[in-house]
Amino acid sequence: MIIAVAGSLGAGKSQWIRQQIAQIDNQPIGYFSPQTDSVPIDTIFLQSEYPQLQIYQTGQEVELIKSQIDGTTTYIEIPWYLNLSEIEPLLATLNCHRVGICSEDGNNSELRKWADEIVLGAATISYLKMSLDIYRGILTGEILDYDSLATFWLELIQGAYGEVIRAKAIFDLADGQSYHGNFISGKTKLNFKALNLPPWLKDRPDRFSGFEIVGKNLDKQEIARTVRDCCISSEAIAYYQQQMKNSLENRTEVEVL
Amino acid sequence: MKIAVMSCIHGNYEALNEVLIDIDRHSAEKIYCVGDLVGYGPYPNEVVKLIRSLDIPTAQGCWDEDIVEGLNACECSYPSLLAEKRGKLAHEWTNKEVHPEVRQYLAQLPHTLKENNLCFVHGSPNSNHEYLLPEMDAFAALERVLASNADVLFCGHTHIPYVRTLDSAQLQVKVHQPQNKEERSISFNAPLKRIINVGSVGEPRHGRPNATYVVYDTETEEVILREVEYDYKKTCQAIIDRGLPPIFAWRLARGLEFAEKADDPTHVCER
Repeated sequence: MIIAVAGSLGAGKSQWIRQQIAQIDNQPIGYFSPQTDSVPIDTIFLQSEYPQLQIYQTGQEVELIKSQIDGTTTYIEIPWYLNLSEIEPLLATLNCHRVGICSEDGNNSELRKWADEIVLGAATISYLKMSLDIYRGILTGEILDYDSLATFWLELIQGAYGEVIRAKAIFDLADGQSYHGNFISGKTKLNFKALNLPPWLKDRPDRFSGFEIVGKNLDKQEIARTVRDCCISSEAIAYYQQQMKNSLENRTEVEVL
Repeated sequence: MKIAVMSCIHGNYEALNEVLIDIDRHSAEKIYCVGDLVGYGPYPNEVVKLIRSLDIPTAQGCWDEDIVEGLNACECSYPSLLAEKRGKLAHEWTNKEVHPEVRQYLAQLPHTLKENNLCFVHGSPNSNHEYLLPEMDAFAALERVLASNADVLFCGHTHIPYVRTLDSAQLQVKVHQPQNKEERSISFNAPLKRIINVGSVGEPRHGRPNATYVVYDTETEEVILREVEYDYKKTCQAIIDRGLPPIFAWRLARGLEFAEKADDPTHVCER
C-alpha cells in the first residue's frame, strides 16, 4: 500500500507519518520524499526513530512500485513547495491513497479536491508559496558549539534575521550527537532533540547536517555568517572528542545480580 | 545621604543621559559608577567625556581594563563561541574608536572605591571579571564582602540588578597545617552584610531595553532599584550607522544584552 501525504508548510506531515509508523507492527515500511535529497532532514529524523524504515531516493521510483508487491506500506511525503500537478504523473501510476494535512484556517481547497482523506494538522494558516523565501544550508562535516547554537536559534525564531515561519535542521554538536531542531511559528518554541544515531567521535562527521528555513525577508548572508561563527575549529573538535572518549571509557559498568 | 550607583554603560549615551536626569529627580547627592563605560555601544568617547565632566567617581570595569591592556580575558569569560566572536568584534571596534585621552582616563581608574562602610567594585573585590551572581554560594558571597572590609558591597557586571542580604552567621574555620598534627579551630560571628548589584545602564539583560541603576540612602539603608525608559531606538540606529554588527541593536532592543556570562560564578581569572 502506498500513502501519499500532502499539506501546507508546517502542517505536520512528518508528524502524522511518524504516528502512523508507530502503529504498524511487524510489517515492512517505506518512505519517500521527492525533491528533498540534498537536504533530507525529515528522512533522517524518521530513519533515526525507525532504523528499519526503507528509504527511497529520487530515481528509485521503480523500486517504489515493486514495494507494493511484498506488502510494504510506503509513505510518500510531498513537500509543501512542490506543486501537486508536478507529482501527479508518479502518483497516478502508483494508485495510492491520498492524505491531505490541512491548516486550521480551512484555506485548502486544492488539497481537499486532491485528497481521499483529510486530517487537521498543526499549521494555523496556509501561506502563499510565492511570498516565501526558502534558505537551505548544508553543514555536513561541521560541528557546532551548543551554547552558540542555542543563541543563534533563539535569535532566528524571534526574528533577528527576518520573519521565520518554519525552521528545521540537523546539527552535529561537540558531544558527538546529532540533534534535530524544529520550529513552526506560533506552535513550537526552542526544540532540539538528540537523534538516535551513533555518536561521532573521530574527526569531522561524514553524515548529513544542515538546515531549511522558510520565512519572509530572510537575511541569508547574516544567517550564514552567524552559523559559521557557531562552528568549532578542528583543534577544538579533536579536544572534545578525546574528552568524550575518556568519559565513555571511565563509565562504570553496573551489573545487576 | 542619598547616593546613586550605576554600572555597565557600554557606550550607550542615550541611556546614560536619561539615567542622569532620573538621578537628578531623586535628589541623589553623589553618584558612583562601577565601570564598563565602553564596549559594544556606539558612543564610548562621549560617555567617558560626560562621566568626566560630572566628576563621577568610577571604578574600572573589565571592558575598561581590556581596552587599556588589550583583550586578554580568559576563555571562560564567554559563555559560547558566538559570544566570544561578537565580543572580539566589539573590542576591535571600540579599540579603534577610543581617543588617546579616553584610554588614558580608563587606565587610571581604580579597581575599588571605598566610602565609609560602602565599597564599590565592578565584578568582585577579587577581580573585575568575576560574577557575583545572586545564586552564588552564601559562604563564598560572604567571603567576597568580608574581603572588601565593608558592610555594603556595590557591584555590576552581571547586568541584572539584585539586592542580597547575608544574615549574620556563625562561622567556624578549621586550619590544618601539615607540619603540625593539631588542628586549629576559630569561631567568629560575621555581621550582617549586603551585596547590591546595580544592573546595567546601557546594556540590560532583564528582558526589557530600559536602563537600571540604584538609589541608596546611607542613613535608612533603603535601596531603590530604578528602571528608566530611554529612546533605545536612537542607540540601535547609532549601532548600525557607526558600523557595529546589527545583531547588537536587535538584542539591545529586547533587553537581551550579549550574554557574556561565565558558567562558573565563583571563577576568578588568574591571568
